[in-house]
Amino acid sequence: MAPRKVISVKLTQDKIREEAEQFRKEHIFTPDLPVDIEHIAEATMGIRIIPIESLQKHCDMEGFISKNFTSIYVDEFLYTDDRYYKRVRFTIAHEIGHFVLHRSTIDNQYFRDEEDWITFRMGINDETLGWFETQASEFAGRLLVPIDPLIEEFRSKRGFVLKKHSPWDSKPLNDDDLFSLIAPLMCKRFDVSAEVIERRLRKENIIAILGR
Amino acid sequence: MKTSFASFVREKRIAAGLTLREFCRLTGFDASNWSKIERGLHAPPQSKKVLEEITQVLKIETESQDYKELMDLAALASVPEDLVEPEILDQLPVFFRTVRGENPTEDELKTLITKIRSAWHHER
Repeated sequence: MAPRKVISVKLTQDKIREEAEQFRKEHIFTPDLPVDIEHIAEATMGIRIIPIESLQKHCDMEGFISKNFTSIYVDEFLYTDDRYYKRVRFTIAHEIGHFVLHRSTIDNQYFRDEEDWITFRMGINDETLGWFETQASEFAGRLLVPIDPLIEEFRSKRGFVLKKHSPWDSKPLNDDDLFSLIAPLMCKRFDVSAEVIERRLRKENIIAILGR
Repeated sequence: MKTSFASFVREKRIAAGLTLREFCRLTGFDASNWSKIERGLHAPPQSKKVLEEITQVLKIETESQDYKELMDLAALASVPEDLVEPEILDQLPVFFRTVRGENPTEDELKTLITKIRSAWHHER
């Protein structure tokens, strides 16, 4: 049998934004932050969260959604340790991203047995996988960090950061420096990592929207 | 369909606005074991003290209908002999988030199958 191919679906940023907003309308009934992603998965989508011991250590995985979309598996240690729970929240949102964006691709895969699944997984090239993973992460970022509160937080914190880090005799902060200094101050409200906030600020082109 | 302890406590936990993680933190249960109880793969606890702690965390009032139902379901519950494990192929992922951002090795994929199977293994 010819090796099966997974074709990368190249969704635009606008399409991912649209899908994330549609999902928000259908599944999130409160503007409260942080987004209670685990509750949404369980209560409104009926997906089980299943912690697995040493998933990361033994399989190099943080989490995944099952092929039939009934379960999201997460690493038990990351799941129960406060220091890593932000990562788990993002992983759950990312897996929901696969459900929303890549459902037909996933549905179209059929495995005869476990060996067939291993052959399938080993055969997907990194570039193709990269597309799917990047899109799911983009969706997760948009879901956990909605645009309006992102702008609001940036607006409320930037003056403080610019003042604190712009001594009279040094060069003004460039955008990258500003983002990396402001992101740790903004992430608490969204309960995501500073890296996620930085990525969102860049993707939304926040400087073009608000100026510095 | 008759309510089981597993589905009853899961429903009450979600209704109480508690994630699996929060529930386990409040009760001291191990998350993967409690997840198995909620899937009917492990028998529920039988100790009255533990069951009462569970009702407190789930905000179920003592002697309420829900309290009685939870106690009854725990007393009756056992893992069914004919419990069918889910189709492992349906539980396997097409995509997953890896730490190093590369496709896992064959050994890692085999280990994953073992772990998923173990997550659905039921104990009588």
